[in-house]
Amino acid sequence: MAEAVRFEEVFPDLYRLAYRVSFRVLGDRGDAEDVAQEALARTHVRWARLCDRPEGWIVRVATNLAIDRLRRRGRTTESTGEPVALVETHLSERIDLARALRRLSRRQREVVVLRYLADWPELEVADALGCTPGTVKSHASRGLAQLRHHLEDKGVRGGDDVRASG
Amino acid sequence: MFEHLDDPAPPEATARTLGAVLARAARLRRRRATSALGGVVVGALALGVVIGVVVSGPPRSQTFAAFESESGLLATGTPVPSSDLASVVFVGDLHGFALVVHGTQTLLAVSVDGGDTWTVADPSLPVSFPAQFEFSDTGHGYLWGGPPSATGTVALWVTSDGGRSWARAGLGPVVSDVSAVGPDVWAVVGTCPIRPLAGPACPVVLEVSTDNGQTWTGAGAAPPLSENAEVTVSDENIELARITRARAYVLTFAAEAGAPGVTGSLTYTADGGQTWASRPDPCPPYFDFGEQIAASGTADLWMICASQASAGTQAKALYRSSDGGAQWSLAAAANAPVLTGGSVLGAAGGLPTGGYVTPYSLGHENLAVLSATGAWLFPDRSGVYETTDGGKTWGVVAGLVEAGLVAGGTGNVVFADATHGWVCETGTGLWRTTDGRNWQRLGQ
Repeated sequence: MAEAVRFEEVFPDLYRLAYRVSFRVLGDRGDAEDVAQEALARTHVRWARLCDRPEGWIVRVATNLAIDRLRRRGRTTESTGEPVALVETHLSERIDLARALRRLSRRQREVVVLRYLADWPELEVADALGCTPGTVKSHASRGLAQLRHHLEDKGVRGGDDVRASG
Repeated sequence: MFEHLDDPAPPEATARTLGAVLARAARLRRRRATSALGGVVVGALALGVVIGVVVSGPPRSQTFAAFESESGLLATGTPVPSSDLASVVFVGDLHGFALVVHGTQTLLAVSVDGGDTWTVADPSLPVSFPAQFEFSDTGHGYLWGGPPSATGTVALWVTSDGGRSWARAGLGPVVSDVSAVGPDVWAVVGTCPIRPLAGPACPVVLEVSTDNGQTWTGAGAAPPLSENAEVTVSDENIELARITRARAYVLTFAAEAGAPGVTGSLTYTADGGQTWASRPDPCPPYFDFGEQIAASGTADLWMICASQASAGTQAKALYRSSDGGAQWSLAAAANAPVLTGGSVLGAAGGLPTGGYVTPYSLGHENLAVLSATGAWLFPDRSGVYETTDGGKTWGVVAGLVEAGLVAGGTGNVVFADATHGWVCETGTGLWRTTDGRNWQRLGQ
């Protein structure tokens, strides 16, 4: 039997993946690092079950944590009336992206996150989610349409950039 | 599609990041266990009401509520779970110190009961994990290593009150290794700041203190060695092994000018650093990843050589010297590497193939040599091994496995004497033996 992959060996790659997804949503290094660490810690706890294919699970957990973080950040801003201190230029786009992702169905969100937030090919998304490439294409298409609709409503750059591909 | 939202300079996944993740994972596991225990307690209480039995006493994990819930600086004296320890040292069989990653802080915890319980001594150390530290008694300690400063310096910090406060020693720019024998402390110091890109090899000097690190003077002569100037973690390529107050070895692992690859160099002093003599480095060129030296006495030396690490395994060789490093002989090897020149080490065998011995060792503390025949080895990402025949054969320590050690991460093994030893797996747990044979897991 092949030796199970050890968490420490693949940690750098998994951490980079979780950080990239988190940063795309949050746009803040400290928050993205915190979310990536939390996602990797949860992965470590479940490593016996996840060690074969952890990437899909990590992307989904990191995205959900990042969206929750952004939502809490929004509530804090509203309650205090003070702007959140972020040194980045796409804050409104990220907030709208998170809101748009939340409006997707669970399956659509999983597909869109893996396909477009983590930049995975359709075949890998299908493999990770245990469905056919056709199903991925279908969910991706519908999810993108909704995402484009939500983002264009907000008039942000992401709406223009949302195009089905592959 | 969302590439424009990427971080143009994402952070590296460092050993410190891994330590923080493992510490979080340990807390998650404990929280789960607490929830399960809470359910059991609720059930037991309900049953107690029914049958008239009173169940009393809070679950033990409530002791660590402050450690788990507070994200900022912890108060001195706050209990610390042993599963969050990153690295331990002991001075005697009762008094121990540990580095702990808590949120963004690296803190110092202390134990006065042999490791059963731990409390915060300093909630915010001036050096971040992975750092090196050493205590010569319950009051005097030394802390160095960790990530270099923005200008490439690595400082030494000294405490005289058991780790509650630290003062920066006037040494630098790069403190590479420190060793104390009572109040007599030596520090090997690199003379060039650490740089992100390769630079010329840099001389090292020896600084000596006879008053527990309060004042320092240069040794009579510098060891004829150099270290790489481009390394990013200062402690990986230089090692100071003190044998007595006057005798010591310094081992460096560096690129030599005009030579391909990296090689080890060993030098020795018997007069407190007044003069130095070179010793042959037994590691063949195949082992180009790192070396580690340990000693049980003035003449008995152990040298482990390591090759590139891959998929959890690493070729290793163990050489022994019984004359203070003048001559070496092969004691054991792993992965049967074919050496340059056609000779083969395979016949030696004996060492475990799995796990990495260097340069992943933090503080060179995964090899504990107790005598000319007995030693303990804790390769990273492997189990804990013991030899009783001078290193010819190594076997997994079954007592540790029975005590719950599922080694797979980074850790260290330390002994205060021939029978009192501890194994710490970073972010997982702490185990102790008091007779050199039987092991028990400590705390929570």
